[in-house]
Amino acid sequence: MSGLSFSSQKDNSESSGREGGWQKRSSAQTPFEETIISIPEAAGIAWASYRPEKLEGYSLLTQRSPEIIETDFQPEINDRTDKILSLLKELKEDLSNPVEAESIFSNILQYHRELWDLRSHKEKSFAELLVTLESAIKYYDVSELTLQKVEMLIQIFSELKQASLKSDFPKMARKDLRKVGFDLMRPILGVPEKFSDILKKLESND
Amino acid sequence: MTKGALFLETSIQIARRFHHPKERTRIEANFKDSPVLLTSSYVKMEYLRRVIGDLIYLYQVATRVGNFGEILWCIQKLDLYQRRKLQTNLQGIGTFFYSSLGNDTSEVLEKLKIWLKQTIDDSQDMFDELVDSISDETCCEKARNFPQKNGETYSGFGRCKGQQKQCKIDEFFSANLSAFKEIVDALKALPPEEKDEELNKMEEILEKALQHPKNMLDYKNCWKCGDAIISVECPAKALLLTLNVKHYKVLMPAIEKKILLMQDASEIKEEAKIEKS
Repeated sequence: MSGLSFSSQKDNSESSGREGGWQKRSSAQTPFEETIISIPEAAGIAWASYRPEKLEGYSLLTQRSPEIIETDFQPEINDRTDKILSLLKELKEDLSNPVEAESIFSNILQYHRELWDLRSHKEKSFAELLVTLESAIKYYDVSELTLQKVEMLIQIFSELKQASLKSDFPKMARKDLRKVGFDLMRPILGVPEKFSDILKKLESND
Repeated sequence: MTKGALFLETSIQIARRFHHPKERTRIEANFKDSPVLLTSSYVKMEYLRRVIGDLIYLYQVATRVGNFGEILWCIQKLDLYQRRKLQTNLQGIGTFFYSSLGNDTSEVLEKLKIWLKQTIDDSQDMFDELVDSISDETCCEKARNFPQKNGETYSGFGRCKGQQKQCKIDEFFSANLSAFKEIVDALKALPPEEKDEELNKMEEILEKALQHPKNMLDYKNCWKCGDAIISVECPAKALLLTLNVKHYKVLMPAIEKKILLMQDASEIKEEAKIEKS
């Protein structure tokens, strides 16, 4: 046995009321304990950043507290969102051109994917809204698009720029998307028809 | 020509949300000239029981497994009918959220959980948005209160028993006794080769319930007579639209009500062309 234990009874009795995790340095420490306790410092983690009360609801090192979110990742999120918004505005002009519209959609989905990768730095409703938007736009048939639908997408995508998205916003967004005619049940159909058609064509060519 | 009000049966309501867009277009082409779309709380209960119950099962499995493949493994243990139904849904959703940019199935699982939860949470709204009015003569409790959240998950659909009466199906049955009697007579008069197992069971339950309407408070009786209950709920002046013509073509004429036979969307377009010319 290595003897390395981070939460022995002795450590707990000497701690300053901290529960679990790393123990605060005390004056009665042995050199051995000193070595253990210095590990977080060596790793560059400041005491203040892992106070249990601050970590409540977040898992250590995978998600950050709200104040860090705003300063670190919101500009990146805003940047991707702005790119999507400008593409959607372009789409309004190109609704009658399915080739152009298809290309705009591919780019929107690429930025959507980048926003999805940033989800762990935001609140739960951010990821929820992205899934809603994905079920509305992924494989969407551009020939079914209307100006009203694009306007609705612009309105909903802009909300991603909020520092903190309201928890009930995704539900409201789903309602609005259904109202203008988006089909949020597409995922249940699996591979959309246009891709099945392509597959059939490829099979017949074989 | 105006068709008047349409009463939408369960199969139609399910198809309008969960079937292929082509099928939905075919169905909705029948709404032309129908100013009002109606349905009932009993239809809503059937819709929730048949579709949302399955999605809750998938959600519950998805929340306790570690990856997408494990859900498929759990489904393998179900009976053939359930397995086929759930697997089709699951593979559909999985394929949809799969991205060629990342092969990580835990990401698909994450999206699957969010999408299922959203669809379950929206199920009441998604049903209501499809019609103009919903009658509530049976006061079906499941139609009002399902799905119910239980922390981060949901309670199952459950059963209904007479001991904890929460609806008025017995009162509805008593108030429409003569209509149900007409249905029993029509079922009895049907040649055996035209009756399937469901119609046989329905006849047996309804006949007993004519003497003891409180029998209908048991889900084992109530759910097996769904088509007869919906036929009686359909207003006399409305036409009933269904994908289950086999049952309703027997039940509806028995109480002097009509069904609207589904028209193909292409037939309707042709009709419109003729009308124009």
